Amino acid sequence: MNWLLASGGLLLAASAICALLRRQPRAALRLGMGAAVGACAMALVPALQVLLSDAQPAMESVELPLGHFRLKLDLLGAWFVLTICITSAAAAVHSLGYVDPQRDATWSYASVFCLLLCSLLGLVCSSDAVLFLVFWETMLLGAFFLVGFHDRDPETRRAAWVYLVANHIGTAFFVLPMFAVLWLKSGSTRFEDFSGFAATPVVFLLALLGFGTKAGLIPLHIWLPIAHPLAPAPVSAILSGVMVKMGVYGLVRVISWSPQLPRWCAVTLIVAGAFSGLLGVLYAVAQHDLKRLLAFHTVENVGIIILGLGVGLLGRSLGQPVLECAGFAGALLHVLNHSLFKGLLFLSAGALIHSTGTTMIDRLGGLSRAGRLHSSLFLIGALAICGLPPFNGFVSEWLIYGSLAGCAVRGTAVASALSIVGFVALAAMGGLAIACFAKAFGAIFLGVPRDPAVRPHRVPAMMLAPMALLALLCVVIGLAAGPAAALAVKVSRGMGVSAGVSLRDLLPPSQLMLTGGLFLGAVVLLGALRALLGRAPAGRVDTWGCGYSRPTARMQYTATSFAWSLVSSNREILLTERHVEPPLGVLPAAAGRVHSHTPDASFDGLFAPLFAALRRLFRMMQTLTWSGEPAVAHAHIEVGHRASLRRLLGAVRRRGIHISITYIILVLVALFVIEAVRHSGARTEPPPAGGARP
Amino acid sequence: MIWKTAAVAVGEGLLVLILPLVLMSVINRMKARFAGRTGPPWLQPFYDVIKLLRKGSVYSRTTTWVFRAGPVISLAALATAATMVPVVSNRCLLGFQGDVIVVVYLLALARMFTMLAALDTGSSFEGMGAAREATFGMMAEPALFMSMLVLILSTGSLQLGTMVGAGLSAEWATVGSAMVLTSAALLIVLLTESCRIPVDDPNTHLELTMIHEVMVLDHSGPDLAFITYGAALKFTLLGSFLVHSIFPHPDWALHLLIPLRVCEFIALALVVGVIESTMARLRLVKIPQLLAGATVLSGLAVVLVLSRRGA
Repeated sequence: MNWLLASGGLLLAASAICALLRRQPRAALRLGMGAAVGACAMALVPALQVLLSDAQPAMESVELPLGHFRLKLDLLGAWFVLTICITSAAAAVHSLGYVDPQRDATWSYASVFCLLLCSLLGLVCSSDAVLFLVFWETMLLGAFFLVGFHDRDPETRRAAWVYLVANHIGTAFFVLPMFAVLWLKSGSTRFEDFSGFAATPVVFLLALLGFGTKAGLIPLHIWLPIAHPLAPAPVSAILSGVMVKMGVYGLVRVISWSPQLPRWCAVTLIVAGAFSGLLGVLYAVAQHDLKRLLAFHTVENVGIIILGLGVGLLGRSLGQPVLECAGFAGALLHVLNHSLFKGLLFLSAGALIHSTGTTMIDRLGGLSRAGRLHSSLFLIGALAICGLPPFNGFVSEWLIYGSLAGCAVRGTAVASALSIVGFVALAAMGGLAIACFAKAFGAIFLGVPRDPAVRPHRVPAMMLAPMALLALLCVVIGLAAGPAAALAVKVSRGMGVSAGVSLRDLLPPSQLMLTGGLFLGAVVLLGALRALLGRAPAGRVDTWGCGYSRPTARMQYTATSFAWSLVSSNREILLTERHVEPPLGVLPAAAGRVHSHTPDASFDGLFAPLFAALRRLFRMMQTLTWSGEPAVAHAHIEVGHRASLRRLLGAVRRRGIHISITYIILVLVALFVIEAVRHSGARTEPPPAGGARP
Repeated sequence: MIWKTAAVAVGEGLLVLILPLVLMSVINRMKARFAGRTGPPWLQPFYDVIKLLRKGSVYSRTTTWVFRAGPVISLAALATAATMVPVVSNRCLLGFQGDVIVVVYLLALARMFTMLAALDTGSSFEGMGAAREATFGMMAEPALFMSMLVLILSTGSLQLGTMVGAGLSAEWATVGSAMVLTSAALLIVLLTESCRIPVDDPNTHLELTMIHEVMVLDHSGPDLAFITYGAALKFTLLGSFLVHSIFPHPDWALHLLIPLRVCEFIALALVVGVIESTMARLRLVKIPQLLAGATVLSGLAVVLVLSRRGA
């Protein structure tokens, strides 16, 4: 535990020092990123101790002005610390190559980066609702400043704003009330005291909506594909790989407090996971921008994780500990796996931006010749995210498949039918992901360059090294499926799986390792055979053009046309718009153009009308209320950058003051109502010190 | 005794290795007979593969390592999958609970690398073929998984060796209709995944109408041999799902079982040959409907199996 506190202290100190180093941009960046890597290494020590030995969870009391709170590193916390540390350390090293000290304000980047990392670590270790919410808030704000890092671009400012508002809606309307309900029921803000009180519909639904917003479940995901692509690439890696998992973490905690959740909760999770996963990957197929495509894949993978949690709960409600264990272990392992391969892919996208200046898939092509290592690393990430053996994504999906099939065989009729839906949805997701990444990898790295204006630069080793580390871990977990699954099974005990459960009879991961080894052996053997046979190549020619001998780069199949047959067959769901400007005349002067655009239906159909209605309401109220300087409406002083604060206040003043004030008011009203109801009821416990009030 | 067992196992393995090419030969002979031709010699697929293996390879200047790795990795994935699928008897080299998912994903891995190798050439024809493969492969996935679910629900096992074994006989007796539907769905998946009529025509002469053949236009020499053999192996593996679920035999003596299974495989190849000779390739826009139909068939089968269990 001391290591963890030291790591937090290091991050805070580095954050403060970086904020002062405005005149030494290079030093600030190196100091901040160095501290982040060091802190990750330090935090890994206690996490691995907890995960690998049978040590008791470490505890630590923290004195804060509101009372004293406790930090605790148990199995679940340690697992998420592991997830945070690996990807964040890789992103920190990558930042050294990505962030340009000449152009960017490195001091604020480094400072907020350290602060974000500190709040992520604190979040998964806090064992108290108030502390959890403090870290939650600093995490949201830290990410806000990082998303809006390139704030000269109006799109980026909008993205940061959408991110902040959407997440605060989730926090204010669902997360905060959830903890309030738990506090009222248990009379305490400590996590240990919550167990047994959480198994109510209200808490579960609030947790699903609140943490689902953070995790990016459809239709609450709207901020995710807007914010993740516009953040700097290493930040996108953290947002997608790690921060989205904090929503999953919250849900996992709530499940761990509720040993007896009713079956409809499992049903809800499975349906939400399958829906989110399928729609997420369908949207991903239709994207033209690599980072946006990756962001939608995050939605898909969170869907898979939630599906795993749901089937675990279903197994629990069926009284089948093995199925429960396989579902939970699959979901938890997928949390780690997704952070590895999604981190890898977003860092690849960062290297792509560094090398070519764009992530528009249809402008790129043929990059594997210039960057062989870069393309191989991206390919590993792509194969892993498609869940193909022998990479890590397959191991976790395999566990979830096993649990779903087990529930289908052993469950009641409803449980069976539901598991079958989940099973087939997972299969369809796999097929779509393969199509999507064949498109992305094929269009970006294979073929010939499409746009002569794009001239790739060399990717520095500083950016490739962390990607190589993540790729290596993807391969290692895929090949060492046995130990990885065993560790995930152990962590699933933190969610209430009883100790003696083993997966040996349902799905033996050790046999899976044998398959992985066999596959590698076959590749080596056939590769050797191929090398032996093809000693005298007959020559190099142009690609066979079916008789046409002067092909140009523009004749290649584009990514858009690759995806079109899939997109068009799902047009009723995706609502893709396509504009065709055909070439005119017998001898056309200009080439024809085809555009296609896939709108985000839950943004245009659900949130935009909602916000428009709210805006009308506020305009009516505006005449009645004071409209001066919003002095402390958002003064979260934890982030002490005056310039950033000014920017934030400016943004608040310009656009959304009504919305942000209203939700605070609404939450206060809700709390007062709950308070009033509670006092009118029969409960007599005195309210504890430092309650879960905002 | 142990030598005898080992010899039988090795013999069985060799049989599994040569069976794919034999089946291709049977299909070709059947199609020739329908067309009123004598057809190529029985061993022609073997001659073709051996000829290709001895030739050098021509590579396009556009291609990179992905193009060269594609055939090797695809065939390695298919060969690994073959160790988990019971083909001519009820046993396989490496069977464990959950291997059905590994097998299906290994087939997907092979498909992924075939597509990537095609995209590596930068040819619009091969890109088009890869796009079709991705689309139809994705649409066949739910049908295949749903059919597998019927077998999983019937036998309560996730291991291919026990899923398609004797456990299915009882299922044929009680919910025969479900098994008929599953077999139909599996046949459609087989024809789609191994790129045969009515989804794809392996003998078409126009690149624009191809799926699989257009993806491998640029491969030559040993690479093409790997691909040809891999396609035949994939046909055999998917065919054995079908053969084993239509004819679930208990563990009979091997000298009885193996010849019987080989005959069943040949019958399957004859059926495919008849389909290829009597049908035209469907229009590409009709194929999603066919695959959706297969998914619906297998979904109905799942409902039938579940309702029987509920009753």
